[in-house]
Amino acid sequence: MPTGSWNWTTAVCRAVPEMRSLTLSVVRKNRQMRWRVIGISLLMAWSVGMFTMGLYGAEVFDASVDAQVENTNFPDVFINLDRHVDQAALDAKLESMRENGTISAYQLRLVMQGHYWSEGERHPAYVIGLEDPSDISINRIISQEGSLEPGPGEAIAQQGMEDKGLVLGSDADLVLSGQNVSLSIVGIGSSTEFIMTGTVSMGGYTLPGGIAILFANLAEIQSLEHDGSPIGDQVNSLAFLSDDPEAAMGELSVFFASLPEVPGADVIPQDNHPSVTFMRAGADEFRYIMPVMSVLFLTVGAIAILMVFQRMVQNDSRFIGVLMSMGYTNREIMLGYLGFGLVIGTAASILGAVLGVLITIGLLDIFAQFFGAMEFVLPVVFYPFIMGAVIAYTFVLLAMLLPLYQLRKLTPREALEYHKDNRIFVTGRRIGRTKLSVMGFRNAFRIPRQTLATMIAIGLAIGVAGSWLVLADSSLTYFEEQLGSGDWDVEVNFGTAISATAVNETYLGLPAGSTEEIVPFRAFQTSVVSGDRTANAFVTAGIGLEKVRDFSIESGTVDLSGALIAVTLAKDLGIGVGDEITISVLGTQMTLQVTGIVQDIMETAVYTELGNLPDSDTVNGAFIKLGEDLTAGDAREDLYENGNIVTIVLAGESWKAIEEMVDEAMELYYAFFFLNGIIAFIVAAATVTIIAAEREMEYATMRSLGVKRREMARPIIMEMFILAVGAVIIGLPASFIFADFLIGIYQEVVMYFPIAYTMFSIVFTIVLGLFFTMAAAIVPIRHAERIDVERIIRERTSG
Amino acid sequence: MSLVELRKVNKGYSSGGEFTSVLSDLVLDADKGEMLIIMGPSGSGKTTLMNILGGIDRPDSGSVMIDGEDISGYDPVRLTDFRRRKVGFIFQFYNLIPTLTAKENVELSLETVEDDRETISRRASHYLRLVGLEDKMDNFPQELSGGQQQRVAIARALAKEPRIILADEPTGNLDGAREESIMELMKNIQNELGITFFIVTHNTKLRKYADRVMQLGGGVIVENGG
Repeated sequence: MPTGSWNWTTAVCRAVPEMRSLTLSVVRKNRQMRWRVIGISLLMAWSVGMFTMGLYGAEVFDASVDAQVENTNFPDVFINLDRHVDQAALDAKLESMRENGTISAYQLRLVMQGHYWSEGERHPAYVIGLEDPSDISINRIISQEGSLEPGPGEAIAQQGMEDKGLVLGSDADLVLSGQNVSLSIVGIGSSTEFIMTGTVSMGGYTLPGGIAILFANLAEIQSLEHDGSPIGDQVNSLAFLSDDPEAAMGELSVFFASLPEVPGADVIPQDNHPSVTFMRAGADEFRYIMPVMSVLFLTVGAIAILMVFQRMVQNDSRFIGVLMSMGYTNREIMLGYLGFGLVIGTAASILGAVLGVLITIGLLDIFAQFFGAMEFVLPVVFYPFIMGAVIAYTFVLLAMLLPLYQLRKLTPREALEYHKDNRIFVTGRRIGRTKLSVMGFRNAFRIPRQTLATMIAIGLAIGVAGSWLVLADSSLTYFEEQLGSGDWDVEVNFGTAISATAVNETYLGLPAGSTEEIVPFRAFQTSVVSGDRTANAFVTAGIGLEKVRDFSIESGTVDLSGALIAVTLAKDLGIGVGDEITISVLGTQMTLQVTGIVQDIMETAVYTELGNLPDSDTVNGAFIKLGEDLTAGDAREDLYENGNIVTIVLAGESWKAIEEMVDEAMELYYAFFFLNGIIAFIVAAATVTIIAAEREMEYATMRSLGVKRREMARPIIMEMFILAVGAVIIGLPASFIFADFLIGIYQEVVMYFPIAYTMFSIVFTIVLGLFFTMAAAIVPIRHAERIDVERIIRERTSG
Repeated sequence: MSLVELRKVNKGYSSGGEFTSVLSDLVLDADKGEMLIIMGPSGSGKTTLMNILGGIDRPDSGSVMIDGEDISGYDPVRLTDFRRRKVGFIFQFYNLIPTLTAKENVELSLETVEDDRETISRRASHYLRLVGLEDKMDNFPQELSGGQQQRVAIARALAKEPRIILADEPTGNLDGAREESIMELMKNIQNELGITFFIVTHNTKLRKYADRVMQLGGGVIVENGG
């Protein structure tokens, strides 16, 4: 047994007897540089992990959404009407359509909105009457607890409101259309329609948080009164499954148009249903944003590899010369050094694949909180991992190209004669009072190319970190602007559509003279067509909408005689100001010219005058601007007395809820910022470690001259400060460039918001960029303090 | 016919726009199994001569005939092949690969000319035994003394069984006793294997081992004798 020579590489060598000595020498060199190799491998593995997680997470989401839709027979189309229609007539129509094969299954519903009392707090409630809540042929409710067959006075609660008291065996005290109703909870279920627990789409607006969703027997809900009259055998919502939803919609439109009072409707195809779009948005976010982020990380990792590898090849010059003198060709030596990249690429691929799966599973736990009882499926797919490995090796090889090219051009004589750091650039400037400070300043520029490369590597890392800050700040600025654009105090939605002229203080139940403006509107969700493109849109048609809303015009003018459409919708339809859009309204269509493109938090919003609708006198809601004598809270109490008002939204509360959501998103962005800041620190530490290692002899000389340990820090801090300033100068514009790039993808995939150049982002990026980089100075300082002066002087001066 | 024949070899370098001649019309012959010691002051062209003999550098003009091959016109690829087959190098600072054991260092050299692992292993062991390091084969360079490291370097140069061995200050980093030991070893190998040695040194004490001593000065041989 050789003394002190056994190690894992020797073991590998013995296990793989064909391993050539040249490759073995490089593999062992990796071992000597293990901390640097481990650091870079981890950075690359993290990047590959994010890349893999992006692709694999998207596959998980897609597979899970498909499975969820299939397993629950999720309807192809939902239609929510703003009037009650006769159940028997609609049932007969749908039954005939089922018999002739236009649809394969359908569900009739009566939806009542109101509020639910829990521990003295009022929460919105959404009660859905179904003929058979346990029906599995369409829109299946998956039982979580108890029964799916409620009797009289009983209901099933959607999973997710347990913390608001809606548990099995409890009584839900509700106010629906002004009536007090108590329903016993006999079952807890999960409906895909409301899979985002606590979040539900109502009247085109997504109201976050704390909504009670209950399923009861249709007859139970029909026995209630609405606006003072018994409801009877009427419904206001339906859903169906069909192989040809467009044909089915066409047939139903004719039916609705034939009714004495044509109802307005939200027509929501499966792909546009909030549950599905939210779930698919999750998939797209994974698929596009994570790989893009990972590419930024990979670039930083590649720069670190380039720097380490270049120094490694330069430091090994003499040994390369020896190999050449033995008759090794440049190509053979290059292949030997590729072992370095092979180790990092392989470690990054394997670790990255494991990390990708682990991060995906970890994130799914978080997403499960949003998606309630959705069962996530982990599909067996290999391409994300193969792609991860390919991208890892590609970036590693790209990083090694320059040093390998230099190696290829090297002649044996040049290699044998190489003298490290003989040629350095010395600036004549003197910064600082002491020689130690002067040394620190000059050291920063002694090898300008290396200094620049270090600044670029750290600067890019700062740029990546800062981009998340800019992203967070931009979205926050946008949301604040948007939330401040509403000039109304209260929004009400009616259970049954009424005449616009009837909407006044008296009808609403508000004291005379208590309002400044009442702007009735009709809001509905439908499809909008322009040319050969179709998109689902939220249409709001009102009388004087501009009085209660400041539109942020991106192009065109605020002219509601035509249509104002949101930026994202304009992009989806590929249109601009002056183009025409056709809006489908049940039984008819209307064409409007686009007069303005607006920035809007509701990304597919269309605003127009009520007069443009075929039924220009009917509305299903109103914006109310209160006078000084009535508070929004008091107004709400008055409004609750109106039996036709089913939802009341106070501007402040609505904003607060949205701000809470935005704040949660911000926390994620800030977490990314700090995570990337730490990576910037690692990159800075990795690159300055190389510098520290190269200056061992100088540090030893300084110590031998009597410089104290703590004084050794001074030139290093000076040098690091210069590097930090340079890195921040590069990092700051990089952060905006990267953010612009990320925001572009966000606009395509998730939501629209413009980039904001705020002082906060600039100052914070500068301060934290300096902090993370300067913190890395601890590495060379510790190195300089700990060196064995005697050993280094002896080794470097002998011979 | 001599194993090594240099005819009118010229070599110079340009630096800062100025051309400096290092070797001028140099003529040199060496027979198989001869040990030549090359001496001379710094800048006399010793290293350049060794580089040309070893195929590391090419002359500006003249012919370099080694073992029947004129390598003066060889391109880098053929020079590499030439070094692989016919030349062994021994350096002043040993230049062992620190991440390989003694035996692996020798095998590293053998892998350029031999594919069979068993043959490589056997030959590496043989030459390490020849230099007296049979008990140090699995030690890394840092675990060996300076003299032992130079013995590994000699074994590494010998293992390929080259026609010539070029040694640049092979004892320059050793004390007196180890210097003697290394030179004795090389002399024995020269006699046993018939390998031609070119040894560059400043150390006049080594003259006694030489079959011939050449003194270089100003790019030409100013003394050529025993």
